[in-house]
Amino acid sequence: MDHWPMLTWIITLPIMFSLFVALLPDNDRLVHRLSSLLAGGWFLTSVAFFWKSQVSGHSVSELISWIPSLGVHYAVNADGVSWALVLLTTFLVFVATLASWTSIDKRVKFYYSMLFILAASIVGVFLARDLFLFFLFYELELIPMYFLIAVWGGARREFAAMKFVLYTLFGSVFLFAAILGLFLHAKGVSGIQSFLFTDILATIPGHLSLGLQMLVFASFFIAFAVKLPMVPFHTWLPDAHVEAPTPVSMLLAGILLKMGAYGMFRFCFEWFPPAAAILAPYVGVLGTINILYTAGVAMVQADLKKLVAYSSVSHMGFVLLGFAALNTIGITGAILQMLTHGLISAGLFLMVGVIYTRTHTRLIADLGGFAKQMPVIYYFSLLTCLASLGLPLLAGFPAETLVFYGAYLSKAFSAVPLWGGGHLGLSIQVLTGLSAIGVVLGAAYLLWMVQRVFTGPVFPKWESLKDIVPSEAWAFSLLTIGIIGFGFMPQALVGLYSNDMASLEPSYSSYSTASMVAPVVPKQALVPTHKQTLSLTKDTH
Amino acid sequence: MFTINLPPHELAYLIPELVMAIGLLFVFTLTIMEYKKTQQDTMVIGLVGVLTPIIALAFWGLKLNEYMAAHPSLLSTFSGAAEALVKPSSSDPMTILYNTLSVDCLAFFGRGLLLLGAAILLGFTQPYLSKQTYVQGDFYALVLGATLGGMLLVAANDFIMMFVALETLSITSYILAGYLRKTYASAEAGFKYLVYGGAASGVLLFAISLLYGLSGSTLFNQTASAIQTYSATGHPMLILIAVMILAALAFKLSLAPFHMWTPDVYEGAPTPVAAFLSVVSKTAAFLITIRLLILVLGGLSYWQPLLAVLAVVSMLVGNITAIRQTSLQRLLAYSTIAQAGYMILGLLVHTAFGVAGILFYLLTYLFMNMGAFAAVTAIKQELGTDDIAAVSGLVQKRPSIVLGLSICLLSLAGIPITAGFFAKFFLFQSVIAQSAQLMPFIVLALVTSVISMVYYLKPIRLMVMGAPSSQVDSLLMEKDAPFALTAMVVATILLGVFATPFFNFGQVAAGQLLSVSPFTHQATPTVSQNAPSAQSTKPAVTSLPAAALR
Repeated sequence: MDHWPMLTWIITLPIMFSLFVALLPDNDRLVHRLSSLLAGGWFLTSVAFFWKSQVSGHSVSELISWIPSLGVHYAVNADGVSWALVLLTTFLVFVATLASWTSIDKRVKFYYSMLFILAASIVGVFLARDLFLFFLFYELELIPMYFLIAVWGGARREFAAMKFVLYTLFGSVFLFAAILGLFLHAKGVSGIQSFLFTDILATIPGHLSLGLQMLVFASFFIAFAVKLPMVPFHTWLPDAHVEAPTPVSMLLAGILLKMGAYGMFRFCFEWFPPAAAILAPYVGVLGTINILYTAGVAMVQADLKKLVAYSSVSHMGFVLLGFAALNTIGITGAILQMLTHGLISAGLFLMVGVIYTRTHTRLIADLGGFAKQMPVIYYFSLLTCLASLGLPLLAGFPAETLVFYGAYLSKAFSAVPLWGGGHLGLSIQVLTGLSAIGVVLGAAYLLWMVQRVFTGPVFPKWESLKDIVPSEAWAFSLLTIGIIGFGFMPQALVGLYSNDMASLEPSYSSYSTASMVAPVVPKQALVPTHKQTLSLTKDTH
Repeated sequence: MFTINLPPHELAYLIPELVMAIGLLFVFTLTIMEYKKTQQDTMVIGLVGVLTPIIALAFWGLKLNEYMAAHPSLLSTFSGAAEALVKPSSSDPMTILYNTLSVDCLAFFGRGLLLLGAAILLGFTQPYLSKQTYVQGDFYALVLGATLGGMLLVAANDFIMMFVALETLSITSYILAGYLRKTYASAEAGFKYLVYGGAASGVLLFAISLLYGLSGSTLFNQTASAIQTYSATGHPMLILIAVMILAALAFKLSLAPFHMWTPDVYEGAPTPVAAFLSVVSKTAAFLITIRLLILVLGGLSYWQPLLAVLAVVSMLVGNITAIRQTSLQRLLAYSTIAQAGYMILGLLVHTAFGVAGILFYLLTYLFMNMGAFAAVTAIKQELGTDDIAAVSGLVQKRPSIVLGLSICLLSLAGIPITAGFFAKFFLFQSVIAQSAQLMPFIVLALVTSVISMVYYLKPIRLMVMGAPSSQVDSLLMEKDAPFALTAMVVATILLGVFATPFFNFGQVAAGQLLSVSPFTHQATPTVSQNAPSAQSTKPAVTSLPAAALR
C-alpha cells in the first residue's frame, strides 16, 4: 500500500487512546487533561488528513479482503458527506472532553475509555464501505453508550440505558435483514459474494424489482428512524438525554443521531432512487409530524434538558423534510442541517450541563435570573438558542432556509397516496408551509425558556453561583466559533460535499414525475416479485 | 473366531484416543495409590489430567505438522498454516475399524474442539477442586473418559459405535454431575440427569433397532440407502425413527422442549461440570447430529420442519426464561438452550455453508462459554454463591474477572467486536444464502437475541455499577483473573477478526461430508455454488497478514 492509510488511522487512533487511558494512573486531573489533549490531537489529525486528501486530490479508499468465503471486506472510504461528518465527530468529541472536566468526577479512566471507543465506532460508521463493516460499527457503538449512560447518568440511568440499547437493537433487526437481503440479491445477480457497497450498488438498478426496492428502503428507513429519531420511535431519546451526563448528551445529540440521518441518506436515498421517489411523500409527512409534534411537546416541558432533547428531535425532522424534497437544494440543506444541528444541539446541551453542575436541578421553575450572575454563560447560551431558532447569520439559518427553499421548489409529490387508493391533498409545498410553523414554535419555546431561566429576578438561593470556568469557556467558544463562522460562510461546509449532490436530483427526477401520475404499486403485486428474485437458490425437494 | 486384524496404520489415526485412554488409566492408578495419603499428592494427578489432553492435542498437531513438513512451502506464513488446514479436503474421507469410524475433516475438527475444551476445562478446574473434600483424581479421570467418548462420538460411522460412544460420554457425565455427592443439589443433579439421560438413550436405542430392522445393518451408509429405498414408498416407520432419533439428540443438545433437565442439572452440578456439559458434551452432540442428518436422515423430508420447531421453541424458551433467573449458573443454562436454538438454524439448510456456519459458531461458543463458566467458577469459589445479586459491585475487587465475564457475555449476546458477533452473523448469513424463505426464522433469531441483551447485561450492570454486596465487601484485594479466563477472552476477541481459516476449514469439512452423503442430489447445487468462493480464498489468505500488521 503506497499511501498512508489515513482513514484507518482515524478509526484506530481513539481505540489506542482508550487502551492508553485505561493504563494511566488514578489521577483525575491528569486523565482529564490528557484525554482532552488526545482528543484535540485526534481532531487535528483528522483535519490534516482531510486537507492532505483534498490537496492530493485522489481517492483515499482502503480495501482489504477480510473473510473472502463470506464476502466480507475491510473497506473504508470518504466522500464529502463522510468527511464532513467525520470532522464534526472529531471536533465534537474534543469539545465533549472539555465539557467532561467539570461534569465527570468518578471512574474517569473508564469514562474516557468508553468515550474513545464510542468515537471510533461512530467514525467507523461514517467511513465504512462494506455493509458488514458498517453493521459492525453500528452495533459497536451500543456498549460504550450503554455504559456512558448507565454509569455516569442520573437517577433512572439504568432504565434509560437499557431502553436505548433495546430500541437501537430492534432497529438493527431491520438493518440486518435489509443487509442480508441485499447481499443475497447481489449474489444472485452477479454471482459474487460481497458486502462491498460498490458490488452491491452495481446490482441494484435494473435488477432489483421496484417492490423489493421499496421493501429494502423501508427496512433501512425503520432501522435509521429509530436512531434519528423519528416520532413513533423517539421515546428512548428524552429518557437517554435526561439521564446521560452532559458530554454524553452533547455527543448523543451532536453525532449519534447523525448516524441515523447518514444511514438514511447513504442507503435509502442514494441507493434506491425509484423507491425514494415513490415513498418520499410519506417521508415528508413523517418529517413534518416530527417537526410539529415534538416542537409542541418541547413547549410544555418542565425539565430544561427534556425541552432541549425534544427540540433536538424536532430539528432532525427538517432533515427528513429535506430528503423528501428529492432535489439538490433540499438534500444539501438536509445534510447542512445535520452538521449545524450537531454544533447547535451540542451547545444547547452544554448550556444545560453548565447550569446543572451549578444548581443540581433542571426544573425550569426552579431557575431564574442567571443573566445577572453568569453573564458569560448567558451570552453563549443566548447565542446558541438564537442559532437554534434560525436567526440569520448564525449556523442554523442557512440549513433551514435551504431545506425550505428546496422543499418549496420541489416537484417530488403533489399529494400523498393513501393505502386503499385515493390521495391526501398534501403536496410538498403544503408540508413546507406546515413545517414553517415548527420554526415559529421553536422560536417560542426557546425564547420562553431563555426568559424563564436567564432573565427575571435572581432567586436568593442562587446568589452565590459562579460564572463560567475556563474548560467550559473553551468548549463554548469552540462551538460558538463554528456556529458564527458557518453562519457567515455556510459555503465552507456545503463545499465539502456539494460535489456528491449533483448526481442525486437527476436520479430521482426520472421517477418522481411518474409517481405523481401513478399511485403506489399495489402491495399484492409486490409479493410474487419478491419471491422470484430472492428464491433463486432455494432447494426444492 | 475372534481374530482381529487391525492394520497398524488404522491405529495411527487413533493416537489421540489411545493417549487419552492411557492417561485415563494412569490417573485412575495414581488415584488409587495416592488415595490414603490424603490430598497432598493430588497435584500430580491433576497434572496428568491436564497434560493428557494437551499431549493428545500435540499428537494431533504432530500429524498436521508431518503434513506441513511434506509441503515446506506452506510453513512460511500463517496463511500457509491455514492452507494446510484446508488441504485434507483433497484426500478422500476414509473409514477405519471395519467402517465404524470415519476419518474426515469433521472428525478432525470435532476431536480438536473437544480436546481443546477438555484441556481448558481441566486448566481452570484445579483451584476449584482443591477446595473440595472429594478425591480429585476421580474428577480428572471422568473428564478424560467423557472426552474420550465424545471424540469417538464425533467420528462414529456406525450406530453401535455411536451409541457406545454416546453412553461413554453420558454415563461419565452423570457421575460428574453428582460429583459433590454429599451436597444435596449436586446429588440431585446427577440423579436427574441420569433419569432423563437413561430415557433418552432408551429412545435412541429403540430407534436404532427399528432402523436395523429396516436395513439389516448399523453402518451409516447402509442404513442411509435403506432409508432412501423406504422413503420412496413413504414407509410410516421412518417418521417414528426420525422423531425418536431427533428427540434423543435434542435431549443431548438441550433443545426445548427436551431441555427440562438443563437448568436443574447445570445449577446443581459443580460449575466446571456445567461448563463441560454445556461446551464439550454439547459440541460432540452437535457434530454427531450434523453427521447423522447429512449422512443418514438427509433423505427424509420430516427432519426439516422438526428441527425448525425445535429451533424456534429453544430460542423463545431459552431467551425469555433466562430473563428472570437469579443464579448465574441457571442463567447460563438457559443461555445455552438459546444458543443451541441459534446453532440448529444452520442445519435447516442442507449446505456446506450452513454447516460451516455451525462449526464456526461451535468454535466461538467453546471460547466464550468456557470463558463465562471459568469466570463463574472463580466467582462462585470466592463468593461462595452464584447468586446474581451477590456479584454486585465486584468490579471494585476483581476487575479482571469482571472484564473477562463481561466480554464473554457480550460475545454470547453477539455484540461486536467479539467473535460472537461474527459467528452469529455468519451463521445467519449462511442460512439465508441458501434459501430466502428462511428469513422469518432469522428475524425471530434476531428478535430473541435482542431480548437476550436484557439478561446478558444484567450481571454486567450489577458487577460494574452495583453497590458492593456483603460477600464482595468481605473479599480481599488479591488474585488476578485465572489464566484460562484470560486466554478465553483473548481468543474470543481475536477469533472473529481472524475467522477466515477456520471458516474455510469448516466449509471444507462440511463439503467433504456432503460429498459422501447419499443424498447428494440436494447438495450438488451447494457444492457448485461454493466453488467460486473457494477460488476467491486465494487473495484473502495472502492479504490477511497485512490486516494483522496494520
